[in-house]
Amino acid sequence: MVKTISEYMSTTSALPTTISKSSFESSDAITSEASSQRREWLAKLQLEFYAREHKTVLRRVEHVGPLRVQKPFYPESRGCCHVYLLHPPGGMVVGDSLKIQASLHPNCHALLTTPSAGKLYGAKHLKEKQHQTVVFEVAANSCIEWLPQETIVFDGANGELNTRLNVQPSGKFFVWDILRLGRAASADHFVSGQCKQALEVWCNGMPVFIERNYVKASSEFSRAHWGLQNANTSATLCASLVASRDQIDQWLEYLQQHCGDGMWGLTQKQLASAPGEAASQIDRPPIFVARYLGHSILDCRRGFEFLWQQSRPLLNQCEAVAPRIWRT
Amino acid sequence: MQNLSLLKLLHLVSPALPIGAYAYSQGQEWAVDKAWIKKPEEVEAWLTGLLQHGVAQLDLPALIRLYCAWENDDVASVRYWNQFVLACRETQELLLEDQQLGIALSRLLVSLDIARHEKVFSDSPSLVSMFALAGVSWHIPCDELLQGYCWSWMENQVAAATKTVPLGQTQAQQILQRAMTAIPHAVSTAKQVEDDNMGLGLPGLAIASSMHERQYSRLFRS
Repeated sequence: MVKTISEYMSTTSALPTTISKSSFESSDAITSEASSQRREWLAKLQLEFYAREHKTVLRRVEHVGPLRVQKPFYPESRGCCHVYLLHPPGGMVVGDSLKIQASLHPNCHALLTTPSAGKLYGAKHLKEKQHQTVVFEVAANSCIEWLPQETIVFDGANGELNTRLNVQPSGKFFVWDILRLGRAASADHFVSGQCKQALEVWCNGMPVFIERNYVKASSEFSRAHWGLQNANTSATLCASLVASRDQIDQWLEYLQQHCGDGMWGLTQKQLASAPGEAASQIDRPPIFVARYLGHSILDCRRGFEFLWQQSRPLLNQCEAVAPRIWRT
Repeated sequence: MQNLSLLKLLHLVSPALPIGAYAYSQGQEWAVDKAWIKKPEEVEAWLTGLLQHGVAQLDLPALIRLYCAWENDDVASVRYWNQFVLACRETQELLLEDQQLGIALSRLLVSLDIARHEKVFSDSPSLVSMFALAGVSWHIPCDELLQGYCWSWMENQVAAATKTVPLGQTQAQQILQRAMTAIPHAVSTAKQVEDDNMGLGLPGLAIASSMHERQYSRLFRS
């Protein structure tokens, strides 16, 4: 159910406005409605994963503001830790800032997802932004899967969504980022506002994969063939796996047949080594990328889930076990 | 000493420079196949869009940073921005094109007695990195180098369009005349781009390039 902004505002005002800063850096803005015109509400969540003998455990959870995790699930035989991230307010208004950080210590395997779509509500043309920052630290031989529901960008939003992975060369990842512009079902189209979106993978301080989009409503970018082509769903999936040409052909054929409302682009990035070098001297993860551009959030999600199920054995030699919450 | 910088720039951006740029269309071939581009006006819109929203957001800001890095002998920055450009290339074909042109220019520069880059890269470098090195080595002012990069890119794209669309030679020259007026604006945009905003992507182009990788019948390598 989608809350109206007034409902959301009344919910937030009922919640405490003083938040302990705990261990987080002091520069972060804290709720300050009383002291100035600017409204800022910070929510932070910090997770740490450790490897135990038969499973990955979630050991330390710190949180500020309305971000929560439920008790982890273990639906897999090899101890992958499934975690659901909850943001009870359900969406972000102007000045909101969500920070999610997870550290995977060596040899962990964690799958994080969200039970419902994220929302960036209209910002009423205010200058303040709606920030969401997700950072994963992935140590040697660990594997993170970040499979959130889409983020819905309401008309008039002013959002910034950053997802960044800092991985060790042997760290593995499978992440996606789905942007839904406006709410087609209720004819609430994204005709004003903007959203910056970044999905980045870094290894030892060097960029490995950078995808940054700056979606401005009613712009050349939103109309042009090289841009969004008036599509309302734009999504990128990035994973540290190597798929063969045949595999990619097969996957693409399936996607076009079964999730074909929209366009799919699949590619396997492989750096060419310098002359005289048999292979690159720099150790870093491989990069497989899939993109969707179209009007069907359903086909996009189904397509990404298909790719996840198909490619998971290549990623971490595990069969895909879908989080239960996807089926409810 | 004679000032040869203009002549050096003309040399660097000449389509006769033997690095093989003519073999790449950057997804244009698929876009034409898909009928996104049919008429000369659409070629022009495609080019000016890519120039302002793609080249001016990544290649040019990176070229500025790499130029400074080579000038200051700052190898760490050269490596960083080189890697950044490669990380931003949306697809395997766009990555491969950038690295193949980069390595070809790298070899050519060695044969022209520029060898500063020989121990710098462990992967094939980006074209942008080598273009910057040529500019610094030949004392081409950065501003002119930026315009030259755009011109070279645009001329190559129009040459590709003469085969893909196809266009007549006169139409191609008319498109170039008009589209080149967008270059100064692209250069000034590029100068304003901050590090955190570099590399803004083009979703439609990324899909076009991915699909070109699987296009059945094709003339171009990207």
